[in-house]
Amino acid sequence: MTQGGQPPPDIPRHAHQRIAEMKAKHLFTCDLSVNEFLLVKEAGFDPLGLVMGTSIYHVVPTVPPMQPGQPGCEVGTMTQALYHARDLAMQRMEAEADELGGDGIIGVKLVVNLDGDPQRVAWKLYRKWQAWAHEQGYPRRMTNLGYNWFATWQQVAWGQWQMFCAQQGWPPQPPPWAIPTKKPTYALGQNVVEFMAIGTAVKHRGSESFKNRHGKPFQSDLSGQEFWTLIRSGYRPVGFVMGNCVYYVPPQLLQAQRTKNCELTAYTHALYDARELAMERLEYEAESLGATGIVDVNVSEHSHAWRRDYVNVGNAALQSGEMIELFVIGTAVVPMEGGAARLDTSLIHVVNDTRGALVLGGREP
Amino acid sequence: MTMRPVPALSDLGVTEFLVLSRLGFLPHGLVVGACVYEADTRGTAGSIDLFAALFGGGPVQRPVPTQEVIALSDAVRSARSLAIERMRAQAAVMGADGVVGVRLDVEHHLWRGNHQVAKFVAVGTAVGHDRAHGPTELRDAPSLRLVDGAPFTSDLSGQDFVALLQAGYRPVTVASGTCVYQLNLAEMAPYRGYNAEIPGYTRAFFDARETAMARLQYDLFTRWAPGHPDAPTGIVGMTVSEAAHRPQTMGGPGRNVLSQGANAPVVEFTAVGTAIASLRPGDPRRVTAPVKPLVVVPLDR
Repeated sequence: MTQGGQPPPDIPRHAHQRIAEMKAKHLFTCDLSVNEFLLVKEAGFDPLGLVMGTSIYHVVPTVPPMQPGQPGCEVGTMTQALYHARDLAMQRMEAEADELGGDGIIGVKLVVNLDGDPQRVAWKLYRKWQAWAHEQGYPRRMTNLGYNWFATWQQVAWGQWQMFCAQQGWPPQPPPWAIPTKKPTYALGQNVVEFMAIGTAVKHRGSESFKNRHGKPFQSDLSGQEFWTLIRSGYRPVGFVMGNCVYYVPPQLLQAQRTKNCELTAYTHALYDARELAMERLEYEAESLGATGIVDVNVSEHSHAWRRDYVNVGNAALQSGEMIELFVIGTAVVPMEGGAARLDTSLIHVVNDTRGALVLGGREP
Repeated sequence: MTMRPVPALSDLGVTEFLVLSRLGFLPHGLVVGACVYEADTRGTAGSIDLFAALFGGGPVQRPVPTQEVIALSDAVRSARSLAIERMRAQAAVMGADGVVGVRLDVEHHLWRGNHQVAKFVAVGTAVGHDRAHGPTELRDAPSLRLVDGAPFTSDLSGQDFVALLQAGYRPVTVASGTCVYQLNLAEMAPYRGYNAEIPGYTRAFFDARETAMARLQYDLFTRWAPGHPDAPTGIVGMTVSEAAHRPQTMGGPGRNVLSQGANAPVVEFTAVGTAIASLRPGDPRRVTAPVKPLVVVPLDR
């Protein structure tokens, strides 16, 4: 697919170099902890290398034309865009694992990075300044700049900070909300979202191939411990399956009568419909991989980056409507031939007191 | 040489201390290595097109291309490795075998005169094998120090360190790789208004992370070439993180994130992990029985 005249990026040159070096010098890399690493080894697999894929995507919140009285609808273009972005990231990760000669990828983390949106970044700074101003005793009517906050807040904030510095007898210096945070804030552009997939490619030590029916390495978000348990119980993962659905609810349907307790049917319908659609797509993907089941399914709701105004976040939906994404992801599994192994389990009482370690400043979880 | 200052400072948890002492490892003290660098971003601002400025025609500000800032990459890489080496040197002075629980931290500070400095810190607990107080069967265990006598470093917790030793591996060093990238904001322009991937940014982020990981390997093998007794066979717990290399707003009007003009975002990508190698042959720390996981159902809640 070509968009904007440029072909979609392939794996970068440095990735090929890195993979070639790992193969030549017999070095493995993994993001597994030591316990996970040892368990993966015990399950008969060797970690090969950390593999990743990324896609930076421009996602535009376009509201589709609607009939009056229609109880919300799916935003097809956005559903596709968000799916496509994740799919691109996962495909690139898969290609890296394939090049490394892996049977599969475990511990996959799908990361959605929203901090490329400058308005979102500015909104965080704005909130930080508000907190500071309230601490200094400024009333809320002075700090709540309403819909025009984006244009004016820097002026107001800088004025207050300068006055504060003068009172303290300090030379001019950057205010606390401008001190760089640990989190990266690279303002790429509005509605720009990064999707990244990262995991550890593994290979089975025996002759058996663990690739899925498309001849590709399987992917799964199972941790090393979960992977070991699954393999030892006679199942193997065949792929990462996902389904999503972006749904829009128009604002007039979100208003309820103030004096009456009632169900917000538009919301209920939207969430219900979106969840069902997303799950259906998930099941379809699992069927195409020939899976008999899906484990570790996560259903999550997001409203990623497409809110136009960050003012009155709680009530913004009453003016602009609500746009949500239902995202479902899980690991498709099949039983292994000659599996049916039973895990022996034993019950234990845990005597570790983790609270004490936390209070005393130890680094234990 | 078993030089064990008493009392020794450590940031080990109670369980960490117990599992380490069962193998005869006792803390020698907290070790810190630091390195302060001026995070100079000269050259990352766009250049001015003199011809356009004087005679008009075309934009005056030439935007920066989306590319790696090699000078910054080199600076960050040497700063971080200096911090680790200083920590290692401190551990060597204490007579420790190695450092566990290393944390790598970067703090950004704004100094007077608008100097943006980055402080790279490596903190860990130096541990040493105490033959007199350790278990008798490990009395003749070889030291875990590297061949050149330097202590090992690792970002593993005490429990992870012991689990690794019993499985027949030993940590060699905390390995890190860095790539600093600058981004051209104009690359967004053709994609305004519709859903599409932005290939320029994707390439940049993808390439930056891969470069960071590739450099980590490269630096490891430059120091310990394959065949060297300390040559690492793998890296565990590897992460790739990203961080802004300077603030987007320094405060004050006119320095809005949106009106940053030619100041391109500068992003630092860092890969960190612990390189491991096999235990030396005949090391009694290796548990001969294979790892036998036991599935338990905890009843604590």
